[in-house]
Amino acid sequence: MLTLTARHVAPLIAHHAPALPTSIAVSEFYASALKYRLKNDDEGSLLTPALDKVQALLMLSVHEWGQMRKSDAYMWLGFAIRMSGIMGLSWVDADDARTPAPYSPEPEPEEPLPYKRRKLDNGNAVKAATAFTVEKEVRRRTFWAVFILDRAVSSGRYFPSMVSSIDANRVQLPSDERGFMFGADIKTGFLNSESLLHPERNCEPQQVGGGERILAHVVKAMEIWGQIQIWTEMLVPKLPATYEPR
Amino acid sequence: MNRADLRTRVDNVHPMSPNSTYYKLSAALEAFVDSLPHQLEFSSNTLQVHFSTRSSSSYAVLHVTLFLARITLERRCLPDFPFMSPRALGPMDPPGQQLSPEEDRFYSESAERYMLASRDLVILMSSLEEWNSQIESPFIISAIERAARSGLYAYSFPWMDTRGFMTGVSRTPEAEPMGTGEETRKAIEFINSLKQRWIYAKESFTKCVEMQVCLSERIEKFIQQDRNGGVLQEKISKILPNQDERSRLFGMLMPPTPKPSAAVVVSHGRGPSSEVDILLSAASGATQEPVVAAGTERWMAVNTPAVSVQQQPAGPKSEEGGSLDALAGFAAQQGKIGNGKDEYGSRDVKMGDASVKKEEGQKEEGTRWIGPGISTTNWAVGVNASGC
Repeated sequence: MLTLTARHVAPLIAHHAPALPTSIAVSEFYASALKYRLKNDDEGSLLTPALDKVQALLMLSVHEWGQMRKSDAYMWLGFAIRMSGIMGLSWVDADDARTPAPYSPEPEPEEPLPYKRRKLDNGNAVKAATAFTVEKEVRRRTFWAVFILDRAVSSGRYFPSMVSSIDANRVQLPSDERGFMFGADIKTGFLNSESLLHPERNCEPQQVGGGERILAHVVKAMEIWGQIQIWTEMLVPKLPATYEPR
Repeated sequence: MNRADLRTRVDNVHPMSPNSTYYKLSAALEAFVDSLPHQLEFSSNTLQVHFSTRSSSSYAVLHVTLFLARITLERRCLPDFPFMSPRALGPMDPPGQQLSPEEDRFYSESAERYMLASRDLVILMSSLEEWNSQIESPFIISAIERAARSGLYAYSFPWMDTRGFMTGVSRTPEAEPMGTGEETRKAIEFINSLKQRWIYAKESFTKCVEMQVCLSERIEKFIQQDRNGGVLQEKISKILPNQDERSRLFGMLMPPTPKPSAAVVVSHGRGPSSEVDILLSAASGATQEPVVAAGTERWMAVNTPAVSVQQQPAGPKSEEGGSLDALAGFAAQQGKIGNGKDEYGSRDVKMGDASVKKEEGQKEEGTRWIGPGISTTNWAVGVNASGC
């Protein structure tokens, strides 16, 4: 976290002065520490997948991008993508998805209880169900973070996108903040890339669930942006100037 | 159309054609924007609500992405140097043949969408700043840079911004301009304000300076060499109402007077981004600032405060010296992890999206990145005319 945020924290910057004279240098220092930890993990190597490691790699990737080291950013992102693949993050909403989540108490097998019934069972089932829901959403959000960064960093030739829309179509879109904080199991719909990019086909109505779901819309916007970025970087220098109907 | 398709296809179809990728992507973007619930539509009122509900960051990222997508799409329909075109008439300057009324309208509307998206992106960023809710990331900086480039383009070729979205001057009779003319400067100022926290912002600022230098040189060359150059000069000089703003903007981006030798920046060891250097300097208290070689100066705008190179005495070891030593030892053992240099060598210096390749390290005076045969001068659009 400090890799990305230290540059904004004045006391931290002051703490490191004058050895690290700029906010960029402070963030760079924490990035170095993060890389050290990633490579010298007490519990495993860099290649051992873990959810928190995926998240750390994403933050490191953003930092590297901000340092104008795009190829480094792309490589760290690549680690994150591979790890998310091994961990099956794009299958989190599949019927046969792996459960339970590694950091959660054992979930109850039945569906989460409605809010109004939660107080009646001493809270145990509710806690487990909530933890399960939250854990699942954390996994989804981690996947979507990977997806968004992939679409943002990738471009046509030298940094090809590595997260397929087919994988992304399987994952439920992120819920809004309120639902996430309260651990509510909310159906938000799916990316449905095909109908997003081909609205004229009207193959399937766009669904984002109820409410505004900003994050779900951000994901969709990034999918469109990713396509436009690929198009513009792969394009011949000029579009034809005159129109010949075909 | 899947992503693999996109990688192998080149869009050689006119953008008006429903078969073109431009058309499909534009339709997808438009349909998505139209499908947004009213709570997420872009407006100042909606933005205020999101400020109050602390959801402005996500809301801003959503719309920055959409504006960036629109800017990137429409840029392809504009020429890099529209010296001859009286207004937006497609990617060729001048258009190869007489355009049909439909084509004419299509390109006009495309240019308007380009300018509108750029203006709105700056408005959004300004609002975030007013509410002290700025968002920062390389992606956001790249989007602001695109908006700044749109503005520089509009100020250099104001006849392409017919309704005054970015120049603040409408060329439509009896129509109010659609922007204040300050948007471009604000975008540059945003980038400038982020320079101390993001190297990406430093690079963006430099790219804006380079773009402005290139535009100025190309325009000057055209005026000098082409028999129609006088017409171009007259076109430019007609933009009197915003001369002050233009002078201010171009002044911000004025490069230093060309020096006889290229700027050379000598850094400690293997560069300021080397982890080894950072860790070692953190442990020893040495400064990270690159040392500027004597007799040279760094590439920066004239209004950038001069940075005095202070030789800081080696301070006492940091309290975390033990862990730092371990980190430094590790980094030294691993060798350089990140060298601060893109392995893929050449770097795009873009006029919008139409790229002119610039090889890393190509810093020759005068032909900095605009190709051979074009000399560097101090001429800048509107600057001489205003006496700056």
